[in-house]
Amino acid sequence: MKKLIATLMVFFGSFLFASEKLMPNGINPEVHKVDTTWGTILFFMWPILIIISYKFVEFTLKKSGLEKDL
Amino acid sequence: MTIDLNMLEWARAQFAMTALFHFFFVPFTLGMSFLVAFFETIYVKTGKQEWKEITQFWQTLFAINFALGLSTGIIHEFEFGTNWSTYSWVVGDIFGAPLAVEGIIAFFMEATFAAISFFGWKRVSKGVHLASTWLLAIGSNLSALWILIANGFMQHPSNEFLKFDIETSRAVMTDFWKLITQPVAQVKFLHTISAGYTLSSIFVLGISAYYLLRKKHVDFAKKSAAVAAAFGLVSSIFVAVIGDEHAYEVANTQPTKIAAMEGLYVGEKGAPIVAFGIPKDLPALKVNSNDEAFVFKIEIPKLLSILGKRDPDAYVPGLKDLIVGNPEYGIWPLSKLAQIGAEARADLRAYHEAKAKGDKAGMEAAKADFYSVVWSDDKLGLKLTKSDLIGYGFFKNVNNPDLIHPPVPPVFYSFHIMVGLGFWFILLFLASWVAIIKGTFENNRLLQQLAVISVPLPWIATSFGWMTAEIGRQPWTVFGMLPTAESATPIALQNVQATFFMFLTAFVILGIAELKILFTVVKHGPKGAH
Repeated sequence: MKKLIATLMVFFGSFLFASEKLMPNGINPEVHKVDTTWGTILFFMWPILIIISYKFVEFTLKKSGLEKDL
Repeated sequence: MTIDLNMLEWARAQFAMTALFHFFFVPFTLGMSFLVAFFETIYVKTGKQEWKEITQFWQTLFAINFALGLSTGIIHEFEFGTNWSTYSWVVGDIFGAPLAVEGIIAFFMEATFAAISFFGWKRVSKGVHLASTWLLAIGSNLSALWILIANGFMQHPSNEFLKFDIETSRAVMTDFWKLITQPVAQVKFLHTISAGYTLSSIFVLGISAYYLLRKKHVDFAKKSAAVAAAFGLVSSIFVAVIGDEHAYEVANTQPTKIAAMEGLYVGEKGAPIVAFGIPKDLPALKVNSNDEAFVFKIEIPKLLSILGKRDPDAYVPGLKDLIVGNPEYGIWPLSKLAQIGAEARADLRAYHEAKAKGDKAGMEAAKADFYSVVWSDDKLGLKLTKSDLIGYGFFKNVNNPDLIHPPVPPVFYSFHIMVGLGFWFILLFLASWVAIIKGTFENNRLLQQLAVISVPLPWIATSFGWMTAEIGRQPWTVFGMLPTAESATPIALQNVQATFFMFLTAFVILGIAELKILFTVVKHGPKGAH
């Protein structure tokens, strides 16, 4: 858990303290540098979104009384 | 090479028409595939026949759309060869790789499991059928992943994963892992698929509301609406959250696009967002303040700096800064970028002329200059060589610098309409979900009517989102690397015009057929579906 928090702090820290000096074409150098770890984390948000959505569907059906046998 | 500008505009119109028509089907497929998987999972868990009927009804609508989406996507791929062969030739090594993976992994998954899921209800066990439905959904979404990785490269062709090869005169991939995991591509994938989930949820909610308004298939409609409202609520909130991250990536990798999206002509610290406004289409160099660029506007102070840079006082460059430069923030004038790009093109030409003569010293000299470093950031380990700026060499006419950024009004309106509709969807799902939990949705005619009226809106929102992304990238096909005008096939205007009208006719016929079949299935309702 501590490692996860530390990793997230590094990511958000890099956003918060990104330098204002841009590349010659106006691109932000911090974002131009491909962050593969952040990209991989973003990808895994997809299955998490699907799982949360399905669980929320089940919760809705139970809570509304439309389907109790789940 | 000489490109007929008329031909270029026709080729662009043809591609835009195909993309928009294809995109009517894509988000529906992305979301509906998972909604069908949800319905079938509930059927398998409860063992109740009514959930099987619900699954089969929505699966029929999904199947109609799936077939048409697939066929229009193939037309799209052919156009890369017919109208955009220079693009395909120059960046095919990079753009083609994810498309090839899509064909090998996603298409095979979709084709195999679509057959079992659509036609295997009586032929395989419940478990195998359910697995097939889920794998079809995963395959469809993986298809989007690989296409959006390819598109992500077009939006942000970082030299971290590619280089322009002087030997072949083509861009070549240097790091596949960075290409596929670059956040620009991944955030685009998440934004697109969650928009698809929102769209299909509105469709199911709207059709269910239609049945409730007519007091038909009431139990079916209540259950379908509950699933759609729950999935739609989670998805529409996620679209907004990931849309924020998407805007951050755009703001920092495509400064001309974000400036056009917000009508920001003159860069400023603590830049605002224009919540409502009517922008003027002005030459950027003639604008001295952002106020004169709008007929009227209502702003939210500092929000663009917060969303785009995560800092309320951060500087966001405007279109004018990207033309005349801004030394304080390290931005070079376009004339300097164009000069370096022109030198890179000259090096490329010199290399091949020397090669033809067998002049090895000449080749080495040209190569050394081509890859000479023009900018570097030692702290981050980044550098730009002349070859990285070769695209700017095509913008010889720096006296017409407005060619270097997209037109402001269409990008501004597309973006703002998309965002406005996105917030409407969250409200609609939230109100519907609360009503469903309280058991009042069945009798709330106003909410039902709003859900029915809202059915076409997500198609408008997703189309405008796509237009923001693609018009906003102009005048480049590959941002900063390959201009659109240099990407087309040098063919006769009549060829493009003829195929334009051929495709238009085909799309109109297919569109009418699709709508007619969909309306017929909806009219017959769940019991008439199988």
